[in-house]
Amino acid sequence: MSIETILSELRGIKGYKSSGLMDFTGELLISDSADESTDLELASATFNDIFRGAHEASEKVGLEATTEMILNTPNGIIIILCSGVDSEPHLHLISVLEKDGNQALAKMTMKKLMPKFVTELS
Amino acid sequence: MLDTKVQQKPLSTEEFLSIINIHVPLEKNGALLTGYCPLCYDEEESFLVYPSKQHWHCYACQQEGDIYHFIEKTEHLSSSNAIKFIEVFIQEQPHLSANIPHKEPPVPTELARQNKDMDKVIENPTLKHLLSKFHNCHGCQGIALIDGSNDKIIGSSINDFTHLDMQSLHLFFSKTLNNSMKILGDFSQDNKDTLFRMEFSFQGKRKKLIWIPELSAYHYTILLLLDEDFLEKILLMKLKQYFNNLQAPAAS
Repeated sequence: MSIETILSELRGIKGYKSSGLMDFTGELLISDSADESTDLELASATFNDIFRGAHEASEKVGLEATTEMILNTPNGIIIILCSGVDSEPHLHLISVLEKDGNQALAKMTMKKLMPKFVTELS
Repeated sequence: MLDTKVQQKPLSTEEFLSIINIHVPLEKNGALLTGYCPLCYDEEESFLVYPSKQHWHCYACQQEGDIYHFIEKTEHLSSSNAIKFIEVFIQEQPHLSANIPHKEPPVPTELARQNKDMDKVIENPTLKHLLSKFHNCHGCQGIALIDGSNDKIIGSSINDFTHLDMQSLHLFFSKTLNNSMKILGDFSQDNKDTLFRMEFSFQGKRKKLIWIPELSAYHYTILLLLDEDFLEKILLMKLKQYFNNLQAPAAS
């Protein structure tokens, strides 16, 4: 199964706008969008930085690896999931949903898809 | 069975209704008051309050009782702690406590004993109540309250973390997110309804950290540390309701 096909499994989720698979530095490997208004390249780079910043900030106070981050804003929901710092390749998966999108299902689906991406790309 | 060491005190109708109002906004309906049940979250106004008898009954979940049962169930407290909770609550409300002889100072929270900085919070009944209320929720590891206008921690009940830890996390969330929001302007015009949730491991267990900025006219920001499986929706609803009910600060 191609990684594009795996990513397209997120499309059926209510409120889905776009998604992308990045390496841990934030470089977008593939993306999928149901809504052209979202600049996923910018969103993924920006939120990947936030994710890495959150990771550093949490490590400073003794917390361990951050594995997922969800940001709810008045206009949308951004979810980022990490494959794990020890996984090879080390990937980050981002999804952007509308404000009233099904966040729980998106998170569960992303968790289910992440091992498939790692397998496909290893 | 109630602990005989701690005695229930008779309450006035005003006190009784004020305590019910912590969880249920009530509407007058003849001799009764009605609202949405905080125990079963029924979509109808099934929660009935009989002020004259100081009794409540939910027709949806069939639970009923007096004010002490109400606090036991809504705050997940033992009988004796429910009595203490009510005593402290009434003492904290100046208009309610006017007729009550002040016997003992309020029971300090566990963290208040651990952390001297909490003294400042203890002086503020609203904040003290908030911290004790949410710290007692099962699965809620703690709460930190931050003054968003100067980014200072007002109070924190998160065990294992210092105020400095909480402040550094808050500063990270606040500065990074605000900068990012400017770049991604279409996601958010302001902080209203913004919420940041992060999952991580701590001492081998999965936890989540939630940061909610700019709650209420006081610009309070909140950091919550929760167990991974904690269903935060209800807690967040309660928090928002709590802060919405706070009166705006007087203009200086």
